[in-house]
Amino acid sequence: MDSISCDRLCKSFDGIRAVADLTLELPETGVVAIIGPNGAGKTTLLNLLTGFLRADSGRCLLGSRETTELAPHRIARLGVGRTFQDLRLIEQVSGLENVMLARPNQRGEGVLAALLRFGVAKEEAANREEAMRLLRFVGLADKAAELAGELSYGEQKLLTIACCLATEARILFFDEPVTGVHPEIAGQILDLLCRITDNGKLVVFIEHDISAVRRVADLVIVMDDGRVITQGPPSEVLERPEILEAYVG
Amino acid sequence: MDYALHILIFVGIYAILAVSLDLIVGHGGFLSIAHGAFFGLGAYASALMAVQLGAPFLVGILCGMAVAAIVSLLVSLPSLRLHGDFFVVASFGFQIIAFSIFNNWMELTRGPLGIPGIPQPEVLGWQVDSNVEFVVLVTVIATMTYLVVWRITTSPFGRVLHAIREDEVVAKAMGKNTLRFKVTVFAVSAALAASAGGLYAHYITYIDPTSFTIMESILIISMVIIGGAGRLWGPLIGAIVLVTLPELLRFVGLPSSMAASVRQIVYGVLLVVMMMLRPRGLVGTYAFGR
Amino acid sequence: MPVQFVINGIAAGAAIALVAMGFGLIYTTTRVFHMAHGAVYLAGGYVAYACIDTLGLGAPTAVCCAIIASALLGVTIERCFYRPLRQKQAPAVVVLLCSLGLLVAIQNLIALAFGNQTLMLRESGQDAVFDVLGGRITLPQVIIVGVSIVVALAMWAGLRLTTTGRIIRAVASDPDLANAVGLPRDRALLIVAAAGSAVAGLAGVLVGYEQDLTPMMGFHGLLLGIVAAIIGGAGSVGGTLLGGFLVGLAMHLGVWKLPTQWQQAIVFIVLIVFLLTRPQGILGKRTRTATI
Repeated sequence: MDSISCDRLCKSFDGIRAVADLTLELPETGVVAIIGPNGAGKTTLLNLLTGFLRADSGRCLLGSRETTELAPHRIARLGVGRTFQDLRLIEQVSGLENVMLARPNQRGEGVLAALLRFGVAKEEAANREEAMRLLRFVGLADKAAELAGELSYGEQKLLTIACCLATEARILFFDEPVTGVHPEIAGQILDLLCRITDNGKLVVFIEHDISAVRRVADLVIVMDDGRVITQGPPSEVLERPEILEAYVG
Repeated sequence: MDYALHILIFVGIYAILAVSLDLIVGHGGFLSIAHGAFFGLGAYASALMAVQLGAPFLVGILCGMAVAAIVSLLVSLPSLRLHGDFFVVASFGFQIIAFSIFNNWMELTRGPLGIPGIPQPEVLGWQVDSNVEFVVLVTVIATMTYLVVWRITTSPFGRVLHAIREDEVVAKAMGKNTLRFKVTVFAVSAALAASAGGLYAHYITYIDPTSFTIMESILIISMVIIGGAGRLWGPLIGAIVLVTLPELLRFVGLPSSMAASVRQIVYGVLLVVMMMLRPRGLVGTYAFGR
Repeated sequence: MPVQFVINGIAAGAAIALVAMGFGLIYTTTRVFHMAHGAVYLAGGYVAYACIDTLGLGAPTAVCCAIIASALLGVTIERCFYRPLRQKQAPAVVVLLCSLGLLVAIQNLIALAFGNQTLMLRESGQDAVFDVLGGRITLPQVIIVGVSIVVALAMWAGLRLTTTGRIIRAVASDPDLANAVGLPRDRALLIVAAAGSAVAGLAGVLVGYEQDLTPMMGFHGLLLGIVAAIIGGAGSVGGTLLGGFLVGLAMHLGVWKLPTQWQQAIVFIVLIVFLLTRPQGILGKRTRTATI
């Protein structure tokens, strides 16, 4: 299995270094948490790794394959899924439609197939079934037909997880999956993050909530000022003085 | 009676133009000002095939559609990757140049003299030489066009297109090659507009560049906007309204030189009013939402 | 005889540059794709014509009237149409279509009022002519080039050296931050509308003076101005000036070598080349890179 890594990654915005000479290798499976104060560069790193930002210098790699210059949809097709800090769902359609949208390799997405529809109905039925399965997995089965824009915030976050899973990505990035969410749903989400890795997937999430991190992460990566200051299992890392400094000092 | 048939034929032709533009504007969520150019491209291609090469009507239409689809790539491939405004400029530029080519390439298009003597259509043995028969032909082709648009927009392809319209970033994160979808829909739209051009050429039996200016593009945009973008019936209603309304102006008795300008002012004002007050049009549900 | 084409190209380019400067200023500050800019450009020329022909005013007065009228028109559009849409957070396509509608309506109002025929701001053929490097440049051409450079300098200085200019630049680089910090954004946008439109109106007068006026000029002038802004870099005054000259040169060198039907295509090809290689323009900065 390919693991995601980066080498000497740099990215600046208008002279401000968001990511500075960052080298990192993520494990093949498990749950990884990326923490750090605001402005540490966590989301920027995520955007760089998933192709939504182009690095100024350095390389991003998936296994031995360089992804630095790849378009985001190509990286997604290589099995790297993600959610967004500001949710980003298609609000005008149902939750089910959102999840079905995320299904990969749909024949019906070709314009010719759209016109002639050979085998599209069958594929749609299969995708709908898988989408419902994923909605059941995240606990939204009974809300499948509701418009995504009308779900509660926590439910929308669960929906984004279902969509991310629907892409069949093996590496899943979640940007602040439990921030601003009702504690009960937050617990639900954290449980999901653990269960996802049962199938050999890698879950990487950015969070501010240290207790969440402590609860589910196998590995914690701490960022500040655009670089990784330390990493390791939560029991070790979260006690280190550098962490307190980064957040407080 | 013939007059009513004439109106019906024009409604049919513009219904095709409007719904094909709506593929881009309403379903794709981006704006093109080049539809008049593709209308013209189809008209000229089909006319030249018939007049110069004696090609049958259907061959001319298909040829025009193919040319339009391929030429559309010149506009879409460089600009659709960039911000929507760049695409508008590219389509704007293409429209102006297309007219310039129609008007100046004397050897091919005879420039302002136009192409006369375009034969009336013959479809698989059926000679269409009366207005009633032409209404039937236009209705058939318009119905097929609406079917095509309906099929495309209600398929998984349409689902992705609508997602791109609302949030292109999310679509990319789901592995969709958003550029491909936009380029494809633009090409289909151009091809359908070209088919309307072929119909127009074989109906009027004479074409010249003045029918394919930027004002034509704006008229078609107005139809989409007024009827309602993103909804199958919106463009049809827009076409009916904007084809029949100027005919009413005719009875007001304005001198023709003024009439053209007055019509354009009405289109412009309608666009402004709709955008300020009701972007989703008369029957639309899509307000270019966010 | 390429020198003559170069001279004509630069003179034409100067007018295009003025339109581009106005458009670029408005676009980078308001983010509105201000198609109605073409109508403002047109209005400048026709107001000058009305002043001279109908009202019998002298040229300098006419020019002033034209500039003021254009500025007023631009400000009205910003205040009455763009501001309400902005407050409603209307999507960009909606604003663009509104702007397009305004362009069409105003251009055709002018056509209705003045007719579609070509109008001249003065009698032709009486100009002083200078010989330059084997070509000839007319006085009107010299004036246009001179004006464009002076306006560019004035705009550049205004943006760099005055407080208002700095506010405008702050609003352009980060509208939300500027708002949050309490900068008078709406007022800055009105000033931008006035300045950009005044320059466009001036361009309309100069073009009417050097060549002639027709209503369709609105669309053509607008397109060339936009292409110039893209090529040169919409956010840079020097860029839009340079872009204008380049577009003018490209067009006139095209006249030299290409058959008529392809002359407009040259501008389109130049545009496409830039869109493919350097969409931010020669002197522009990449502002819209991040897709998020």
